[in-house]
Order: sequence, then structure tokens, then C-alpha cells
Amino acid sequence: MHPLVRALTRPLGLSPRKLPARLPLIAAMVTCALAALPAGLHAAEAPTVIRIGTIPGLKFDLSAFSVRPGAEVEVIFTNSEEMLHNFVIVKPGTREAVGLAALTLGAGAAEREFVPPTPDVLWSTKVVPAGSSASVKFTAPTTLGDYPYVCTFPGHYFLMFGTMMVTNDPQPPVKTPLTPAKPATAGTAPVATSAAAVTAHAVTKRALMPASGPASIAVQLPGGVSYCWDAGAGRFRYAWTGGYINMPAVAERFLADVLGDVFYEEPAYPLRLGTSPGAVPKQIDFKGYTLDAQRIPEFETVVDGVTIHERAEVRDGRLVRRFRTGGEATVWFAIPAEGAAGLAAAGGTKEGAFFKFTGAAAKEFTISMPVPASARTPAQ
Amino acid sequence: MHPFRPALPALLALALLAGSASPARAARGTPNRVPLSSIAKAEPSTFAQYYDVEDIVLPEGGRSVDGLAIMPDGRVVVTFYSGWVCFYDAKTKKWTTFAEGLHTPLGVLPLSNSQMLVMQMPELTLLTDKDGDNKADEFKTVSDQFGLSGNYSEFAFGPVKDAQGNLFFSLGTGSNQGAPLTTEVRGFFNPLGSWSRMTSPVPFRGWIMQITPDGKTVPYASGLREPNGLGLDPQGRLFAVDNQGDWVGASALYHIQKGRFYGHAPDLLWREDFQGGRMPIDTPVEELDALRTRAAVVFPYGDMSNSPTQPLWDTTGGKFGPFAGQAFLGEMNQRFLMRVMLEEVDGQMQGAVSPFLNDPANPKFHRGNNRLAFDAQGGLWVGQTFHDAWTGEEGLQRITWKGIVPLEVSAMKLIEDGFELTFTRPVNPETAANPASYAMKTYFYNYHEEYGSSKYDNHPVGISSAVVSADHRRVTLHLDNLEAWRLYDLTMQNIASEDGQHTLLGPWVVYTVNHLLHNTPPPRAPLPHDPTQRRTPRYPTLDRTENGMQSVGGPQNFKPLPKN
Repeated sequence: MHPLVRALTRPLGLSPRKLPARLPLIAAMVTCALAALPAGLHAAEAPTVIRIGTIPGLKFDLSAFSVRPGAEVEVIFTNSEEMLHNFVIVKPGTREAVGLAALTLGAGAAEREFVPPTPDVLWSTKVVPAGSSASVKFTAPTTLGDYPYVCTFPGHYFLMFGTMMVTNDPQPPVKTPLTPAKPATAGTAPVATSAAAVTAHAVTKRALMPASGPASIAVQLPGGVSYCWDAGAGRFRYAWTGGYINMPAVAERFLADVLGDVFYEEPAYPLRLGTSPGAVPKQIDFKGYTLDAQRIPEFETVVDGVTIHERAEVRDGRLVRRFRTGGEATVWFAIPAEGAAGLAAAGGTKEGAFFKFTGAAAKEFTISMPVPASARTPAQ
Repeated sequence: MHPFRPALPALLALALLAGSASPARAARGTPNRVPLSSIAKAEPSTFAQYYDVEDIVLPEGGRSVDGLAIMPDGRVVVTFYSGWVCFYDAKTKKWTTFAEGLHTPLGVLPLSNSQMLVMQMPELTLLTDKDGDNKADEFKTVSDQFGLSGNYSEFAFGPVKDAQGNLFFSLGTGSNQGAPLTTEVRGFFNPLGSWSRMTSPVPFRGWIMQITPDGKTVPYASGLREPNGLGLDPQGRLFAVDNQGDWVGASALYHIQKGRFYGHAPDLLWREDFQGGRMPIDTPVEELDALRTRAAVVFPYGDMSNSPTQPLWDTTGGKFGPFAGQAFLGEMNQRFLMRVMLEEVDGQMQGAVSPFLNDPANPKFHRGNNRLAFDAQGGLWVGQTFHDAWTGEEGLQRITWKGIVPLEVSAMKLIEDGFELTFTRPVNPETAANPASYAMKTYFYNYHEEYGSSKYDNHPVGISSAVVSADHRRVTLHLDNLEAWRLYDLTMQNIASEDGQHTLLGPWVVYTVNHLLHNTPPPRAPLPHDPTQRRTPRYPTLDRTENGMQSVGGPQNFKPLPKN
């Protein structure tokens, strides 16, 4: 497995660096789940008590719980996150409609606790601030079925929901895994983000990306390849096939998810200018990008005083990166030690761990690599 | 000058409705409030009589108005939390998209109909439509010469441009409540900036930045916490707001001057006199207090303002009512704007604030008021946000003046022993001359590390006399005692226009007295305050090991800044 693939698929909440901070939360979740466990199996006449909490990433800590039809139920909702949340149970199949209605409440939304005035809402708590709890008591529906629960605080319904199963055969509550499966929704914003592999135009989106610097840019190219460009470091970071990215509902709080499989990673700034490939550039300044008719970006950097443009596109099953350097006599491209099989340089010669470009090729050259076959035949 | 533009038919209608006003007496010295109805038959005036509020429907998916401006051709340009830059054409009521995919764009400054500056979290960017299709195709980095640690709270605000062509933007500090999301930071990383509630571990977090006309980015002033709003007054003076928190007793408006420090201690890490391994927050509070410049206007926390936003000066020349030259500010938590009246006293800017558009009985106006812009017709556009978990609302509204002059305090000026109030209309001299029509209290906020400050030494101040000018437009309040470095909180009752048709819309005005007219005593020393329990930084230390923070790009070659 490619190291970056591991990095990207590693449960973010369980990275060694973060584990100590998360331990109390995990402990709290286990406690919650244990507390809820017997309740779900309780006899019908005793009230069923469900304790539900929150976990990072806009999630309830239970993705499902079940109650008997007509049971007396008390849900105790505790918000251990920093953001505001409520807990709303809605009629089957109405989660998105209720969530959308909450987005458009406008004036008076806060007074209504962000609960839209629709008969689809069955029961709800008030908005619960960080560290507080609220409970809601009700008699479970007599109609069997899956009743969604959702946080209707604006923007949260995309991710923060679960299912109350009304069933004659109640099961223990289902804990939400800390590393959720890829969301079924294409994006957390109602627009713009698309998981579709094939687009006619490129999409360029600045975001906090995993395994990159905090000023990163995610580009989705026509042809089923996306890549991450780091505007802070002024360089290409990695490329993947499959989908694009999933933007979190609160963009600055969470990293975007990479929806696909990383097939190439560049470990460091690749270019060297001058007669010897030994001199690593000292100063790399990001200068911005332009979009062409297909809205494919071309990035501009100034590297030790030399303007360099870099653009990537998918052509004939390869990811082709074009560099324009503005008249250097010799330019070198460092070949990554790992994962560089199939890397080709048009107009360059291989010298040790570098591709070397001279003359006209030093002014404009391409580096290309095969796109893994699976990505070239996306499901339509 | 009062740019009166009374709409006569409306005034006549009001006069007919109200009948003849017969001012009654307010018992002198009575502490109880006398209901207005007992002195004037006019119904209490409401903002809806003077201002219209129009709701603008946002484009589908356009979340939270975080940047707002008027293009030279009159289109409204909005940057949305969703990363979009959109135009709204008020004639066709249609939205079009200029750009998308931006990183938390919190400000926009149009330069032409095809070019604008947008403040994104990681950089200030010049967006240009080069081929005339009304979509940006060039995104040039104007300045990324500041650090980013990836913390959620490291917002960037602005820009504003002065007459000399300087641009200014402001940088929020990080929050120690947010875990670092990446192991890489942009810019030189100094863990000494991480040991506080709001952090400055990378260059210039908590600073105001200047971009000179030749394109150089220069750190300009320090000591802000989360300065969500910059503005220039008509004289070109730069102002910024800040939000209550650590080292900030209450939210406030600051007059920003080069080299000054405004109080938020962690940001001093990037000053020359704070080098050599010294942690700024360990500096004795007296020393920090002596370094800081105080706010021009402090906003009473809670009932007036929790989270103030952009200040915008009224340059409409009277098209928006009798407030030319004053500033309006957004407020995230309240259904009103704030109106600020500034003056220069003893060489320093200071002044008063009053709620504006406050109408609790008829709350047409949203919360979350974040960005303001005047259009050519004098309409005030107000963009609303509920960014993250703030108590806001999303929306866009346009406020227009109906042409009838409301009764408001149009100026509050410090005098030797009190204040002179100027009203927009002649006032009923009988009630205005009655000291019982006024209640004044005074208090101050303390300067300390802990989040926010209580009101200290809060007590009423006697009003020895209220003197009405010959034209009935001014009232001079003489106080029993007036001291420097305090807030003076004035509420008024029974103030009505002389014609009995208008009651005072904004009866609450709070003046921040820093300086007296002359012989201002030195500020009081900060009161001792229990030290805050330090938060352990959530950032790993600066080593380049696998789990450390790696500093990549940005201002790497950090040189300590000169003191001034």
C-alpha cells in the first residue's frame, strides 16, 4: 500500500498524535453506548431511555437505535462538541426536506430552535450548547418503520443524522464508527461539490486538505483524475482517481475528504534550476493561477526569481503535467523514489534520479504518468 | 448640518393621526419612569416609520454573506461562505456567479467591473475576468505573507484601501479550542505563541497588515484578537473592531495607527522587543497595559454587542438619513446595527455608540449582521452570516430611508463636566430640560488575561442640570462627576420632538471617555485578577520529526519587527 494511501485512509480521529485528546471522548461514548444498551432491550412497559451524544465531524454518536411501537421513550441528548446542535425526530423519508426547510427559516430561526414548522417534525429538543444536555419524552409511533433523527441546526443535516427504528424486535443501539464510511451524499454543501468522476470542466477548490499544507487547492480534472496542489509550498502534492472531495459543512473546522484512491505522491519540490541538480530552491513564492476555457488551472510560482507555470490535464490515459519555465538553460525534475513507475519525461533525458531538460525543452516540458486503469472506465 | 428632507405628505398624515401634542410634566427627581403616553399623545416612534427593510433572496446554496460590496456599475457583489463570489443585479433580481472554490472568503473590494480583491483565509487574491464572460479566469496572489497553522479561527478580514493606495487587512488569532488539522504550517512556527486561549504561533496572527502601493506587505499594528471588520472614516483614519475574549474586556472599535499595540498579548511574539525566547503572555499586565492603545469606543457587552462586525461610514451625503459622517457597524447577535459618533478629544479619537434599527416589537431585521455597503442611491445593504456556530442568521437585506427625519441623537460631545447632545430635530424643551429625563451610570472594563471583564465600579452619576439650547436642538448635561477612562451609559425617557410627532428612537447612548478635554490623568492600573489557568498548546513542539509541525512556505525568513 502506498504510504500516502495509508495516511489518507487512516482514521483521522485515531492518529497517534490525537489519541490522548480523544480518549475522554471515546470513554464518554462507550459509557453512553453502555447506558443505552439495556434500555433498548427493556420491557415495553418501562420507559426506554436512550442516551445520545455527539462526536467530531458533525455526527451523533449513535447512528441507530430501536424502540418498540408505542413505547414510552426518553431521549437524553448531550452535546459534547463545540458547535450548537439539536435533536429532531422526523417522519420517515423527510430528513432532507426538514433539513432544507431549517436552512430557509430566516428571521426567527433561533427562536424556533432551528426547527422548521412542518408536520414532518415529530419531536425535538431545543438547541443544546456545548457541554449541555436536553431530553425529549414521547410515545413511540405505533407504525413500524425507520424514523430519521437529525440535527437541524443550519447546515448540519447533511451529515448529522441517524435512524430510530420502530420495531417489535429492538436491537442494541448502533454506535457511529469514528471513521465514517464515505458519505452517501455527494457533498455537504447543496451545490458545487460533485463526486462524479467525469466532468466537462475542471473544478478548482481551495480547502484544508489531508497530507498537505493549510493553503491547499484541490483540482478535479476532466478525465477522472483529481490532484492536490499546495499553495503554501508552491508544489504538486498527490493525485487520485475516483471522486473529487467532500467538503465539510464547516470548512475551516475539518479537513476535506479525498474521495478516491491516491496513485501518485510527490514527496518534495521537484524542480532544480541550473547546471547541477544539487541546488534545492531556496524561495518558492506562489503567485496564483489562471483558468482556461475548460477551467483547467495553470499555477504560477516564482522559484528563486524564476517564473514557473505548471498545468496538469488528462490525455490518452495519462496525467500530463506541463511546465513552462521562462528560459532557463537547464532544468531538472527529481524522480520520486517511490511510486514513480511509468513516469515519463517528454524531451528530457534520465540522469540518475532526475530528468534533465536543456535547450527548448528546458523552457517547456511535460512529465506524465499513467492513470490507473480502474479510473479510466468510470461507472456512468 | 442637518440634511433634512422631510416628506411633507407623510408628516401631515402623521400630524393628523397624532392630534395635538400636549407635553405634560415629568416630576422632577422622580426615579420612576413616566410612560411616554402621559406626556405626548404621539405613539412611540418606531424604525419602520423611517426605514424600509427589503429581504433579498439568496441564490440556492449561497450560504452566509461574508463579503459584500457594490460594483462600479451598481451590481452587488457577495462572497459566500460556500466559497463563491456572486453578483446580484437589483433590477433583474438575478444572481450570477463570478468565481467559486475560494477558501472562506470574508471580504471583497471591487477595483473595476471586471476586477476585485477577495480576502481568503490563506491569501489576498486579485480576481480578474480577462475574456469578458463575467467569470473570473485569473486569480493572482496579492499577499500570502502571513502564517497559517491550519487552525479554524485564523480568519482573514478586509481589505480596505485608503486614498494613498495602501491596502489594509486583518488577521484573526487561532483558537486553542481547535485541534491542529495538519502537521504542516505556513510560515515560521513559534510554539511560544501557542500557550494562550487565542494563539499566534505563526507570523502576524492578530495583526493589521498593510500592503503599500508598490505591493509590499508590511505588518502595521498588533494586539487584535479576532478583528472581523475594518473601515476607513471620511478623513482616511483606519478603524478595526475586536471581539471580547482573552485580553479584551469587552468588544470595541479601535483607531488603528502604525506600530501601535491594542492589547491582545500573544500577538507581541512578532515584535522586536519580544524576541529572545520571551513569552509575551508572561509579561506583567502593568507592562502590557502601558504598551496598549485603548479602544475609541467600547461596546457594552451582552445587551449592546457581543460580536461587532464591519464599520462603515455614512458617505451618502444624507441619502440614508441625518447621519452623514457617522459609522454604522454590524452586530452578530442583535437584531440591530450600531451607530457610532466619534470625535477627537485631547488628540485621541473617542465617542459614543447607540443601537440603530432596533425595533423589538417588529423584528424585520435579521441577526448575524456581518457586512455593510452603501449603494449609489443611499440604500444600505446588510449581509448576514451564521458562520460556524455563531448566533447569526443567513440573509441579505437592503435598508432604505423613507425621507422622514427620525428623532435621534446626532452627536454626543464631551464637555468640561458632562456631555452635549445634539438632536436631529428640535426637542420638547420642557422634558429635555428635566434632569429626570436622563439616567446616567458609569463603569469600566478591566484589562486582564482571562476571557472578558465584568463591569467594575458600576454606579449612577447624578445629572446636576440639563440645559436646552435656544434652537432646542442641543441639550447640555452637566454631571456631578466626570472621570477619564470610563464608560458613560446614558438612557433617556420622555424625549420627544418639539412638534410632538416623534419620540426618541435611540434612547440609549454609551460614550467611552478615555480622555478629558485636557489634563487627562494617567489610566488606572489594571485591577489584580486571578491568573487564567493556561491552556496547554495542542500543537506539538517545533521539531521536524514525524509528529512535529513542519513549516512550509509563507514568510519563512522572519525578521523581528522594529518596535515602531
